[in-house]
Amino acid sequence: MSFDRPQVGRSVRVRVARAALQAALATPGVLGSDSGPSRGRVTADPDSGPLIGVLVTAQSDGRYAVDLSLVADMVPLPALAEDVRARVRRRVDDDELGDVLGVVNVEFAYVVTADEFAAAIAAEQQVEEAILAEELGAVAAIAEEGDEVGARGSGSVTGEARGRVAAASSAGIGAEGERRLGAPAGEATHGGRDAAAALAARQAALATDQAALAAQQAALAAEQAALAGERAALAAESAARLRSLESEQLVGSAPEGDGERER
Amino acid sequence: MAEARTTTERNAGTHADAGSSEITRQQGPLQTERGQTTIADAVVTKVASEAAREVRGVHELGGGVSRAIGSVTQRVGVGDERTQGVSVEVGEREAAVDLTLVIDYGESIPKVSQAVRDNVIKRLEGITGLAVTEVNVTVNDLYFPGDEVPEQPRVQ
Repeated sequence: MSFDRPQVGRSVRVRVARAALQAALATPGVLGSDSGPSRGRVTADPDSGPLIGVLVTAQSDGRYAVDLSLVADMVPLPALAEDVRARVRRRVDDDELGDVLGVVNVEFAYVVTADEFAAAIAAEQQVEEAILAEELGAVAAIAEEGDEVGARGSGSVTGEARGRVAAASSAGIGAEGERRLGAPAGEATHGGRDAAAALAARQAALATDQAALAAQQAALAAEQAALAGERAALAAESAARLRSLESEQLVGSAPEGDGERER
Repeated sequence: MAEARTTTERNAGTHADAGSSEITRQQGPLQTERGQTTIADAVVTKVASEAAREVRGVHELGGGVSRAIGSVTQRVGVGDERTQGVSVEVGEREAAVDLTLVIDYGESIPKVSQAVRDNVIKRLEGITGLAVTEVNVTVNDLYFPGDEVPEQPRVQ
């Protein structure tokens, strides 16, 4: 008898919730989602974490009602709600769940003006800048550590590692980060749609940079481990050579001692 | 301090012919067969605030007390300057708005009040689809140019 947990993440209710939220957030004019009044519009998804802004309820007719709570641009909201409904329906149909979809209720919890959106983008950029600076500082610290290890051991491997990190920091990640952070903030204010897309692209790029940094840190750690191994092997080799020299000296001096003793 | 309160009962005929079209009540822009659209109070508040600020002659929103409290709450990060001086009641299809304004000295209070009312109704109905039943405007203060410049001390 098995007591395994049921596959909650693959339940129809969770799949409908996931599809509905993704479709709603992809609608132009929708800037985000909100857990709504009393924080009730949240669905637990074991696969991807809590789905904030959507609640799916089973109805007596076997279908599922979807309640969405959204943050939107300052545009005509009834038309936007219809657009959201149409997209949710299309997306759920694509997932072959159209038969179980009931009404789609849309609540707009908040609207954001262009000024507020520009301020939010600027704040986000400051946070990104701070994170990038911190990460680049960490990479520089690792490179310095590599230098110190290289000065103590053989310099070839650490020199190579330092070169790789420096190249990645200055040419790839650093320049890319500066280019993105240097982008004019005003471009986000042209429209909520473009700004949201730009923000998403920036976040994706930042995530990529973070992954690259993590990979480089892992590579550095592996190289440091290899260096430690090399040093240990060198120490063992020199110890063995010393032992052999000592034994040779002992062998060379043994007959003389014997002779003296015989005399 | 000048204080005036102007009230307009808009759509006065709404209640009179309310029973004439039950279908219209059920199938408005916010209630459809495919689902219901709900507009939160915060949305109506924000739209009304922005609409009032767009009108020439409106210097600021909020009474003296709410502005003082607002400046404190904003400093600790819990207040929103954009929503002070606005109070709303939101139903499924209708909304009522109360505004407290500071108007520039020299502007006609009735004209500014009417312009604010018209703009709030236009924006709210256009953005939210809610019918605006009333917009009550309270003029709490007048702004004189130079009010923000601190007075020079008479002695040093």
